Amino acid sequence: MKSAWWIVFVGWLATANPGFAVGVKCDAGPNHKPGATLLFPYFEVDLGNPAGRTTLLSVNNVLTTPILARVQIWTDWAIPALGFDLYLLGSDVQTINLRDVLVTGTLPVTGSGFNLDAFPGCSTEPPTQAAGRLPTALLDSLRADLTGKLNALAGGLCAGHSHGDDHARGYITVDVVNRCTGIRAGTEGTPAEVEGDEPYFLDSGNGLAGDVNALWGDLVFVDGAGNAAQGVEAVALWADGSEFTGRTRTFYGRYSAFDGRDNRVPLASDWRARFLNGGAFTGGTDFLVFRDTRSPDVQRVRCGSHPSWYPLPTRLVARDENAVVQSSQPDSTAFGLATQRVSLASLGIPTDFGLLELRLQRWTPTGTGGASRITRYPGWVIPVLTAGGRFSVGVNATAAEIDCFGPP
Amino acid sequence: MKHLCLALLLLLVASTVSPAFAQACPIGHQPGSSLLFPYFEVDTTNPGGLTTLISVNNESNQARLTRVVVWSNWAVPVLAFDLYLKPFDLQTMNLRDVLNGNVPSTGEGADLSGFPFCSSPDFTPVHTNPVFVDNRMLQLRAYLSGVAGPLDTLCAGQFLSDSRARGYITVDVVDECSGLELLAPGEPVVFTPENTAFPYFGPAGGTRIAIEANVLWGDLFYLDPAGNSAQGVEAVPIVADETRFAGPNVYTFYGRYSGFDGRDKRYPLPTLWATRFLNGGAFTGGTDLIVWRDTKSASIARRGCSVGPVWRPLRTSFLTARDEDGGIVTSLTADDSLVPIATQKVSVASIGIGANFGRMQFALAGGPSLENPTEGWVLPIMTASGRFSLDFNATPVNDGCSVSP
Repeated sequence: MKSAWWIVFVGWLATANPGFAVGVKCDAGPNHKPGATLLFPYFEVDLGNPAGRTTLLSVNNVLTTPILARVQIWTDWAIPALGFDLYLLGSDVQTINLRDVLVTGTLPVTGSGFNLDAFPGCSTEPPTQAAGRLPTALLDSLRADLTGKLNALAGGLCAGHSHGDDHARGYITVDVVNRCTGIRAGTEGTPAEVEGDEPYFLDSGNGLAGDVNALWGDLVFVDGAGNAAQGVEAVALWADGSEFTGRTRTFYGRYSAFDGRDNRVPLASDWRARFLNGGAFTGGTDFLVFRDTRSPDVQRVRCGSHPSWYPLPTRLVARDENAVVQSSQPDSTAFGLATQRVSLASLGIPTDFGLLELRLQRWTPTGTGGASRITRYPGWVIPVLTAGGRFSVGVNATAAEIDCFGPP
Repeated sequence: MKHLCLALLLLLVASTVSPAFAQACPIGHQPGSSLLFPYFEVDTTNPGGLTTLISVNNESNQARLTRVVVWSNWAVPVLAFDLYLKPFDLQTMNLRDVLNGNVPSTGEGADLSGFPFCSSPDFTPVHTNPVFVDNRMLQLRAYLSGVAGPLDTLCAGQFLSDSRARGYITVDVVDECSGLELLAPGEPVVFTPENTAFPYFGPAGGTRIAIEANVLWGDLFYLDPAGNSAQGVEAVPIVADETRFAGPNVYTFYGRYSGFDGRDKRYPLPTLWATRFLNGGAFTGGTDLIVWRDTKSASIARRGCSVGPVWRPLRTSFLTARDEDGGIVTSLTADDSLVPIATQKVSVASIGIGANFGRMQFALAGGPSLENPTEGWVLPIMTASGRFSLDFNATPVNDGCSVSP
C-alpha cells in the first residue's frame, strides 16, 4: 500500500509539473503557457522561388523528460495533407523550415539512437522518418494539396484553394501523443480520426493524443527576396480533462460532435486588430486568419468546387481612429477559408488607420424582437503590417471574448 | 500505517508543490485593466532614428479614462497624463512626439462630467501642445537617458553610453482625472500606482483612482526607419479580478507599492521564462532579449547618477542555455549582471552562450532556490542585419500566482 501511495504521488508530481493544468480558467483562452497542442495558424512557402517566402517553426518541450509529438500539416481547406512524429528530449527544441519539407521532402529526423520503448509503435514506425526523405510520389501529392492543384494520386481531386500561383498554404497542428504513427497522408493518425481501434482522442488524454501541457513554439515568416520577416509565438492550447467535459467547445471539438474529448481550450470568435495603411507602414496591413470550420469534413472535392462548409462567415466592423464606424459588413466571406492571408485593401475599408472588429460568427435572425442566434467559427488573427520592401511586423490580435462554455 | 502514509503524502504535496493548486493567473490575449509596454527606446538625437509607437484601445461600449505613466529603467515615474477614450476608441502615440513635449489631447468636446476633476483646468485630459518645452523637455530626456539634466543633478535612469531615452510604460483604467505631471526637483509625479498616501489603488467604493475594468488592449512597435527595421508585439494585458488577491503577502502586478497586500487586484506576471535564440542562418544579426522586471521595491527616488537605485542589481537566479540537441552549453547562477534593472535590451551575444542556436530558460529571482522571485516579461528580438527583424513573446514556464512575494 505504501508503494502504491508513492506511485500515486510521483505520478501526480509528474503531471502537475510545471503546474499549469490545475486551476486554469478557460476564459483566458490560450495564454502564453505551454500546451498539449500547438497551432501554427498559417504558413506559406513560395515553391517556385528558393529565395521567396518560407515559414520556419520551432517545437519545444518544456519538460525535463522526453515526449513524442505529432506534426500535422493541413491544407487551407482543413484537409490533412501530411503527418509525422517528432521525438523531443527533455528541454529539447526542433526547428523546421517548411521549404525543406515541401521542396526536397526533408523531414526532421528525431529519436535516432534513443530508447523509444516507452512509446508504443515507435519500433515499427520510428520518428526517424525513413531517413528523413519523403517518397517522390508523396511529395508531389503534398505539393498539389497545399497549392490547391489537382492531385492525380488522390483521384484527381483537390484539397485546397487555388490562388493561381505556386505557393503552398495551410496551417499546422502539433499534438503531444502517446505512441508513434509514422508518416501518413490521409486522416489516419490525425485529430479527424474519431472511430476505430485507436481513436486520436479519448477523454483524459488516453487516445493517441495525450493531455500533457509540454509544448511551446514560435512561428517565423521569412521573405528573403522581399527583405521581410515577421514572428509570433505558436498558439499553445492547454488541455484539462476536468475543465472540458460533456457537450462543450474545444479546439478539436468539431471532429467528435463537441463531446469535449480532446480537452483542449477553444479559441475566440470575436477579435480586435488595428490596421495601418500609410505613415511608416506604406505597405499596408494583411490579416492572417485561421478558422475552425465547425465541420468534420476532410474530404477532397472536385477541383473548381469547394468543401461543404465553404465559405465561412464573418461580421466585419471597421472604425477609424476616432471610433467612428467606417464600414460594416455583416455577411463578409473575405475570411472564408480555414486559413488565409487577406489584405486590408481587399476589404474595401474607406479609411487607412483604425480598428477592425472581426467576429468569426454567423448571426441568424430568430425573427423575435430583432434577436439573432450566433454560430461561432473560432479562430486566431495575426495582423501583419508592412513598409514595402523595408520592414514589417506581425502581432497577435486581441480576443474580445473566449466563449468557453456556451453551446458549441 | 495507511493514515501515516496519507498524512505524509499530503504534507509533501502541500510543502513542495502547493503553488500548483493556487488559482492560476493566466496572461492571455484578452483585454486587461492595465497595459504594460515593457520597454521603449527613442533615439532623441536622430529624428529618423529608432522610436517606439504604442496604441491604447478601449474594448468597451462605455467611455473610459486611463492614466499613462512613463517610467525610467530605474522604475522612476517621470511623466504621467490621462487619456479619455470613447467607446471602442483607440489612441496611438509616437514616443518621439511625447519626448518632444506633445502628449495626446483627448476628451475635447466630450461630456467629462462622469469623471471627477476632468473639468478642472489643472487636471483636464485636453492639452495644448507642446505641454512642456526647453529645459523641462530636456530634463525629461535626461531622466530617461540616465544623465543629469539642466534642472537636476540627480538621475532617474541608467546611463548606457548614448543619449537614447529608455524605459517602460503602464496604462491603467482610472475613474478620475489626475492631470499631467512631469518630474522635476520638488515636483514628484504623484498620481501613479506608487501612491498609497492618496491611494491609487484601494477597495471598490473607497477612495482610489484606478479601478478594475478589463477593457484595455494595445500594441507596441519598435520602428527604426533609418535602419530599415521594425518589430511589433501586443501590449501585455494585466487582468484584474476584484474578487481575488486578499492580502497579506500576495503577489500582484503592482504589489511592491503596497507591501503586497493585494489591493491592486491585478494578476502578477510569471517569473520563469524560456525563449529560443538564433545567431546565424537567416538571422545574422543575432538575438536580443527585452526583459522587463519587477524591482520588488517601492522606491521611486532619483539617485546620484553613479549610485543607482537601492534595489540594484536585480538578480537572475539561474540561466540555462541548451543547443538544439538539448545539450547544456551555458549555465549561470546568481548572476547580477544579466538583467539588473527594471527594463533593458540585452544581446544574447553578451551573455557568452556557447552555441549559436538553441533555447534558454532563466529565473527572475534572488537565489538558487528561487527566493525573492520577481515577475517579468520577456521579448526576444531576432535580426538579419539591415534586412529584417522580428520579435515575439517568450514563453512563461510558471504562473505568477504560483509564487509568493
